[in-house]
Amino acid sequence: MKKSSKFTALLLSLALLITGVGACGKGTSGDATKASSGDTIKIGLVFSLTGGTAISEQCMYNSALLAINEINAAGGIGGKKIEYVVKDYATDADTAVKVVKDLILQDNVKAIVGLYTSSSRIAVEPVLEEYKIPLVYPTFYEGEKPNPYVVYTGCVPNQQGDYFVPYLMDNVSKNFYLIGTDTTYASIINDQAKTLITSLGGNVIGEELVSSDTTEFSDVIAKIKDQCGDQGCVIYCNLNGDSGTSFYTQFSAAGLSDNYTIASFIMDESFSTALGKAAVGTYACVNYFNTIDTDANTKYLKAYSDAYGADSAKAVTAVGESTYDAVYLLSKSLEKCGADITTDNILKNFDDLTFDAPQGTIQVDPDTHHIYCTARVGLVQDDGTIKIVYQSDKPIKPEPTK
Amino acid sequence: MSLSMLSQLLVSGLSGSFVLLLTSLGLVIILGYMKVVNLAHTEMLMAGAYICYYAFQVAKLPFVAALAIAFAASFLFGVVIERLIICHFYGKMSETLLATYAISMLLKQGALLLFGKNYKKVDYPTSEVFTFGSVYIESYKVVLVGISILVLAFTFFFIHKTKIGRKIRSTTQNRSMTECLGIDTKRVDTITFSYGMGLAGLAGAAIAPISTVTYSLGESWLTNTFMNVVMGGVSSLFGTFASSVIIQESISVISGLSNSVTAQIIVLLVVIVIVRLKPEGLFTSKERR
Repeated sequence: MKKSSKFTALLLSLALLITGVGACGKGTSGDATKASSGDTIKIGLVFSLTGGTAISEQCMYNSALLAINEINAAGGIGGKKIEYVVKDYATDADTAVKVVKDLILQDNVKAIVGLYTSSSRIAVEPVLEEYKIPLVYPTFYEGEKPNPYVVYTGCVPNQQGDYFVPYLMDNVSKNFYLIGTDTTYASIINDQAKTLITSLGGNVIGEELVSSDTTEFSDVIAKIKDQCGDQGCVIYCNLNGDSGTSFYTQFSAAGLSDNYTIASFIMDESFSTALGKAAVGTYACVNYFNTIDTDANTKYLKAYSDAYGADSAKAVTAVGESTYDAVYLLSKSLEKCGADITTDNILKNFDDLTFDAPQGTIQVDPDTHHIYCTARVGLVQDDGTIKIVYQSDKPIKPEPTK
Repeated sequence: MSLSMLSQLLVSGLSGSFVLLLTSLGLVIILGYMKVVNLAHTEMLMAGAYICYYAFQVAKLPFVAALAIAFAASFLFGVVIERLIICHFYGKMSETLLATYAISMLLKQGALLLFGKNYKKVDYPTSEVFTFGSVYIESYKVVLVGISILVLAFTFFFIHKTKIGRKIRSTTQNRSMTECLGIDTKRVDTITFSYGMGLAGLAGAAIAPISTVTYSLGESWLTNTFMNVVMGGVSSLFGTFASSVIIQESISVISGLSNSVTAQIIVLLVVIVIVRLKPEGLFTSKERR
C-alpha cells in the first residue's frame, strides 16, 4: 500500500468526523434580514436540535418560530421586527452554558427563550445572573426557588401532581408503584408523589429508579407483578425518552395493561401518537393537551399544521404550547418597555402579564414569575389523541417552592 | 424474593442473554477475526431497525423478508465502507477507531436528517404471551431466542465448515502465509467485515419491535455489547455466548434483589476485575490450532 493513499484515507476519515461533529455543534442564525439593531429586537433561542431530548424539543423550537413569524407578520413589537439567533445545546448542560454565553456576548441578545432539561437550566442560571440577561424557560418542571432572571411558563408540581394523585386514587387504584429515570427531575417528582400518596391514605408498593439508557424492562416488570399481585395498581412512571417508550411497549406486550394502569407526566401527544396500542388507556397530566377546545388553540394548531404539516400538528405537546406562550409573553413585555429595553424593565413588565393562550388565559404571578394555569388529567384514546377527563375549576396559583 | 419471581427473573434474563448475543455477534466477528474495533456497530443496529420499520411496518413485507433486507443492505454497506475506508487502516488501532467513529457519527446524523426525530414504532410480529404458572414470556422473545440460535449456528457453520470460513481463519492466523498459498486476503477481509456489518443490521431489525426506533437507538446498546465482547473474549463464539448469559442473568437477578442501577454497577465492576485477571477475556480459545 502506498503511503499517500493511507494519508488520503486518513484525511477522508477526518473529514467525515468533522462533518459529523459540524452537523450537531454549530448554531444557525435565523431571519435573513440583516437590519441594523435600531430596526429589530434580537432574542436568542436555545433548544436541543440534536441529542437525547431532541424529540421533545422539536415541537418547542417549531412553536417558537411560529410565534415569532406571527408577531413579525402582525407588524412586530412597536414596529420593530424580532430577529432571532438559534443555538443547539444537544441535551448537554455544559454546551448550554457555552451557547448561552455566546448569545449574550457575541450576538448581544436582549432575552433568551428555551431550555428543556432541569440540569441545563440549573447550569445556565449563574450565567444569567453574571450578565443580567433574562431567560424565559418554557418547560414544566420540578419547582425551585425562583431565579430573579428566569420567567417560567410551564407548570409546577402543585399545578400537576397535586391533582393527578388524588384523581388516580379516586378513579383507578389506591396502590402505587413508582418508576423513574435516575435524574433530578424524576427523583424529586417521585418523592413528592410518595408524600402525597401516604398523606391521602394510599399505599406505595414499590419504587424503582433506572439509568437513563435502560431499554430492557423485564426485570422491572417481573418485580411489579410479584409485588402488586392481583390487586389493581397505578404505575406512576417518570421515565424519559427511549426508556419510556420501551417500558410502555414491553409493559403492554407482557399483557400487564389489563391489571395495572400507567400514569405519567411524561406521556404527551408525541408519545401517544407514536406508541399506538401500547399507550391506549394510560393517564397523563399537564396544563395543556392539544384536544383543548378554545379559539386560540384552534388557531394555534391550524397555523402549526400549515407550517409543519398535519401529522406534526397531531403531536403538538404542552412544552410546545408553553414555548409559544413564552415568546408571546416576552413580546408583550418588550412592547411595554417601549424605547427603554433594559433587563430590569423586561423582567418588571412580566408582572401580572396576561395572554390569551391556547390552553386558556394565563397570567404571570408577580411574586414567583411562574404562571397561573389550569391542571388537567388526560386519558389516551384509541386514535392516539389525549382526552381531557378532569380539569381544575379555575387557574391555580403557582407554588414552585412547595 | 419469592421463587416465582426468581424463576421469572431467570427466564427474562435468559431471553435477554440471547438478545445480547445476537446484538454482539457482528462486533465479535469484526474484532476477533480482523482486530478492528468497530465503533459503528451500534449505529448499524440503528440502521437495521430503520430498515425493519420501513420494510415491515410501512411496506407490510413479511418479517422474515425485513430481516433478510436488513442483512443484505448492511452487508453491502459493509462492502462499500471496507473498500473505501477500512481497508487502508488494518493493523492501526487508533486510525481504525477514528474511522469507524466517523462512520458512526455519519450514520447517526444521517438518520437524524433523513428520518427526523420522531419515534417510530414497529409492531410485534407475534403478540401472544406464554404463561407457565406465574412465569410469563412474550412469544416474540422466544422468536428472538430462535433467531439468535440460528444466527449463532449459521455463523459457526460459516466460519468452521465452509471454504471461505477456512480462508477467514487462516488469514487471521497468518496473513502472509495465506497469501503465499494464492488466497486473495483482501477479498477475505471484505467478506469478513461485511458479514459482521450484515449481522449487526440483522440484529437491529430483529430488536426493532422491542425497542423504539429513533436515531439514538444505538446509544443504549453501546455499553452492554462492548462489555460483552470484552468479557467473552474475541476468539471464540462460545465465549460470547457464555458471557452474554452471565451478564444478562446477573443484571436480571441483581436488579430483582435491589435495582437496575446497582445491578449495572456491580456487573461492570465484575467485568473490570475479570478483564484485569484475564485480559484476553473469560474464554480465550484453547481451540486455536
